[in-house]
Amino acid sequence: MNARFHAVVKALGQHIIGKQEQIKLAITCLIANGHLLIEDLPGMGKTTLSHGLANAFGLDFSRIQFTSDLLPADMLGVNIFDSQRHEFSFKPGPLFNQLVLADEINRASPKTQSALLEAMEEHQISVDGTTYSLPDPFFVIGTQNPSYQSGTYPLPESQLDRFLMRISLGYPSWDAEKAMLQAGGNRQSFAMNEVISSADLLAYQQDVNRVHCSDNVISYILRLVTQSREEGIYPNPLSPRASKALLQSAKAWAYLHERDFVVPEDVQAVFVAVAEHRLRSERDDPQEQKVLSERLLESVDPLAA
Amino acid sequence: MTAGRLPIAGHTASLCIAVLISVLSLSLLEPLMVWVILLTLCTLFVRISLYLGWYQNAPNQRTINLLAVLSSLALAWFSLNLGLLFSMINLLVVACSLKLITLSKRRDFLQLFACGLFLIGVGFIFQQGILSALFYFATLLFLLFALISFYSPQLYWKKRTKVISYQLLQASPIAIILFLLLPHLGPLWKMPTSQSTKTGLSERVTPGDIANLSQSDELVFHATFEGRVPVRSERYWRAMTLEEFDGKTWQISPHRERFRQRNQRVNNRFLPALLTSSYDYQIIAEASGRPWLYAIDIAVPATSTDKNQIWSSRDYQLIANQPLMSKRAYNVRSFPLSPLPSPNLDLERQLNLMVPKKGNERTISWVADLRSTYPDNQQFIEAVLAYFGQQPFIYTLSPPPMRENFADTFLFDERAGFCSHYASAMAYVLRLAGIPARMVTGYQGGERLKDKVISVYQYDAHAWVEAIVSDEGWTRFDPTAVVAPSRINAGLRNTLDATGELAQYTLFSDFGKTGVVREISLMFANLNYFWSRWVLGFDNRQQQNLFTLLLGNITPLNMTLLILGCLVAISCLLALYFIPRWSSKTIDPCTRYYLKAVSLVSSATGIERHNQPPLAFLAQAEKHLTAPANLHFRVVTHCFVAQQYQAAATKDKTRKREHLKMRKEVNTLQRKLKNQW
Repeated sequence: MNARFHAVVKALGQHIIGKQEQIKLAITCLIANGHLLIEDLPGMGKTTLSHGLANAFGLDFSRIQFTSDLLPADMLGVNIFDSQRHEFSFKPGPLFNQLVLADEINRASPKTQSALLEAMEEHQISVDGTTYSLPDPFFVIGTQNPSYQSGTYPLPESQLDRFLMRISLGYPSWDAEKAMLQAGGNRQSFAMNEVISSADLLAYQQDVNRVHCSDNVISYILRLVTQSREEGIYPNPLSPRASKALLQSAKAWAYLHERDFVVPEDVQAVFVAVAEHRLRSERDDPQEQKVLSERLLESVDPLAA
Repeated sequence: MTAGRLPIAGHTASLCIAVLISVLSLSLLEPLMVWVILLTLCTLFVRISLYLGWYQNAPNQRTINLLAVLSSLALAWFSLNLGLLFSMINLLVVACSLKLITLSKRRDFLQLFACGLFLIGVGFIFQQGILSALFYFATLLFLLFALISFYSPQLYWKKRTKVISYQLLQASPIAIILFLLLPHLGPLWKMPTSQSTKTGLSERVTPGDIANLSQSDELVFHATFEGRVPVRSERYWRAMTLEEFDGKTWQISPHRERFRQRNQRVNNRFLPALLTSSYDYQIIAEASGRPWLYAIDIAVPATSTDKNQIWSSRDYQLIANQPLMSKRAYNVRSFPLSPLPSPNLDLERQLNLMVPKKGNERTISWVADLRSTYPDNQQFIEAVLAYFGQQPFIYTLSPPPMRENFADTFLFDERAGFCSHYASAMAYVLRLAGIPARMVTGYQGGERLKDKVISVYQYDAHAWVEAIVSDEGWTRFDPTAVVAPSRINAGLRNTLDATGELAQYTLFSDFGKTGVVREISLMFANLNYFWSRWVLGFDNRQQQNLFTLLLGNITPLNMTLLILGCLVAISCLLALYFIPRWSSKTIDPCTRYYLKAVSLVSSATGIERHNQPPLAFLAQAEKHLTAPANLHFRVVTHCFVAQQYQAAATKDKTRKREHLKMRKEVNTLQRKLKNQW
C-alpha cells in the first residue's frame, strides 16, 4: 500500500481499533470520489471515523445532526437581507464544506433527505434561483441507524443508490475494545494531523481514473450484475449505476494497493460494500441481508471466459 | 429463501398455483363431493386473502392437521358409496387443498406442482375430447409458468415464454416416441356407474307417455368403414333389443338378461355361422354411461382384444364389459343377413308372444278380424304395414300423449307419432296375432362426414320391429318407413322439413341457413373425428400396424431392437439437452494453462477453487504446498494475472512467449507435485 495511505490507515486505526478493513474501504470511497454511508448501531464509532477522515485528509469539516424537524434550508443556507447594503446576501449553510457528516440521516424527513441527496449528486445547490457550487472535493458521509430502530425514515432504494459504498463497523473484538478502554477513550486525544492534503486527494482521484481495467474484469462485473438480474432471488437487481460504482471502487481499491490494473480480487474486496445496500430490500429480515452479495459473489466465477 | 421459506403476501407463484389447482379440481366436477368442492373454494379464498394481505398468518399446522383428520374420516365414510377410484380422486383433491393452505416452503410448492400434473392426468380419465385436451394443455402451460415464476420471479415475460417453449419443444419428441411405442394398457380401475349422467337411448321405451321427444344434436359415434359403405336405408345401427312388454313400456327382458349372465359366466359364446360378404368398420363411440354398443346386424367384434372386451349376445346386441364412461373405439365386422338366424327358436317365441291380458279391446278385435282374413304370417304383416300406409298416419315429433290404451288411441284415434309409436304398436299387433315380435332401438342413417366416415347423432335415434315370420329367424320391419319414407331415405331433418315441423326444433336451426356456421361446425366435426380416430383411437391394433409398417414383420428380435432403439433415442435426446454445451469459443491458452495448474493443485491439496479469483486462491493454496511447488504455482498465477488483467501486451510474439513460459511452469509444477507425494 502507498506509504501515505498506510499512514492514514494507521493513524485512524489508533482511534478505531481493529477495523482496518472498514477504514481502507472508507479511504477507497474517498479516492473513488463517492459518498459513504455508515450504518450501525449508536456508539460504534461512526462519527469518530468521519472526523478522523476529515482530519487526515485536511478537509473542511462540518457536521449536520439530522432530526425529524431539520429543514433543507438549515443545511443549504439562506438569503438574508443586508440592511446596510439593501440587498439579500447568501449565507451558506453547513453543506458548504469539503467533508460533511450527515449524522443519523434516516432521522430526517424525506424532504430534507432528498435535498441532501440532490446536492450529493449534482455537487451544487440552488437557493432562490441562484446556483451555488459546492467545494471540491466534496464528500458526504452519511450515518444511519439500522432501519428497524424507532423514529427512522428509511432511505428509499433510489437514494441508497447514490451512496457509493455502505459499510458497517460492528462490535470491536475483545482485545480491540480492551485496548480502547486502556487508552482512556478520551476525545481530547482525537486531534490528528493532516497526512494528505486535499490538493493531493484531488490528484489521487485523477490517478484512480487512469487505472487500467481489462476486458476480463469488466466482463466479470457484467456477469455479476447480470446474475443479480436474472437469478431472481435478489429483491433489487443491480442497476447500471451500481456497475459503474463497482468499477470505480475496484479501481480505487487497486490504486490504494499500488497497482495500476484491476484484478478480480479488487472487485470482490469492494463488492459487499458497494452492492449490499443496493441489492437488499428494506422489507427483508435484517438477519438474512448479509448473505445476498456474498451469495452473488460465490455464484459467479471470475475466470469464466 | 435459504431456509426454503416462501414469502406469504404478494407471492405471485403461490397464488398462481392455488388458482390452477382449484381450477383443475373444479374441472373434475363429476367425481367430487360437494364438501370437497367447498373446501377447495375455501382454500382458494384463503390463498387470495393471504396474497392481498387481508390477513398475514396462514392457519397453523394444528388447525390443518385437525382438518386433515376430519376430512379423511369423512372420506372414509363416504368411500363405501363412492368406490375406489372416486374416493382416491377426492382424497387427492382434499390433500391438494390442505397443502395449499399450508404452502410456505419451497418443497410444498414443488409437491403442489407435481400434484397439479397428476390432476391433469386424472382429468383425462373423464374427458378426452379435443376441447378438454386443449383446456388441459392450457392449464399445463399455466402450471409451467407458475413454476418458472417461482424459480425466477424477476424474469421478463418474454424470457419466460422463451424458456417454456424451448422446454416444450425439447419434450415433444420424447412424448411422441412414448405415445407411439409404449404399450397402451387398459384402465386398471373400474368406473363407477351410479353417479354418472347417462345420455342417449333409454333402456325403457314408453311411447304413449312421451309427448315431445327431446332431441339433441350430440354426437353418438363415428363409424369408419374400410371397404364399401352401406346405403342409408340399410344403416340400422342396433343398440338394444327390447322384448318385455307390459302394455305400455318396452324393456329388456329379465329372462334374457339372466340367460346372458349365465352364458357369460361359463363363457358360452354365441358364434353364428356367417358366410356372406361383410362390412368392416371401426366405431368410435362417445361416452354414454351404458354398456350398449352400436353396430349393424349381424355384428361380431373384429379383433381379439375387442372379442375379449365385448360380449355378443344372442339377441344380436354388442355389450361392452364396462359402461362407456369415455370415448371408446372398437372394430366390428357386420354380415348383413336377413332373416337373422335365431339361436333358440322355442325360447324366443315364448318370450316374444307375451301380451298383457287387459286393455286395447278395439285393437284386439281388429287384429282378430284381420288375422282371419290373412292366416299367412307374411300376408298378415303386409296387411298391417298397408294399414299404416293407407290410413292418414302422420309422422311427428310432438304427438299428443296417449296414456290409456295406447294401441287403441294410436291406431284408431290420434294416428300421429314417431318411430317408437309405430314400432310399439306394430310389435303389439303382431304379438296379438300370434307372431313373435319385438322392438329394437338404435340409430338409423347417419350423416356422411367424409367418404368412408359416417357420423351418427342423437337425433338419428330410431326404433323398429323384428318378427319371426318363418322358422328361419328374425326379419326386420320398419313401419316408420311406410308412414314417412323420407325418414329412412333422407334423414330426420328432411322429414321434418317436409311436414313443416322443422322450425320448432332449434337444434336444426343453424343447419343450412348460414353457410359460415355450417362450414365451421363441419370443420369442428372433422377435427373432432380426426382427434378421436388418430389420437384417442390409437389403440394396440393401430400400434401393431405401425410396428408392421416400421419393421416389416414382427419378431421378438425386431421388437427388442425397436424398444432398444427408442430407449437409445430418448436417452440421446435427454443427453443432448443436459450435457453442458462446449463453448463455441475456444478457451484462450493462458486460461487453459492456469486452469490446468489449478486442477493440479486442487487434486494435490484437496482445496477447490470455488469461484475464487486467482490471487485469493494462491493465498489459500500457498499454505498447503511445498516451497518448490508453491514457487511454480505462484509464477503461473502471476503470469495469468498479468496477461488477463494488466494493460494489454498487444504483441503476439510476447504473448506467445508468455504462453510458452506458462506451459513450462505448469509441467514443472506437475512434476514437483508428484514428487511431493
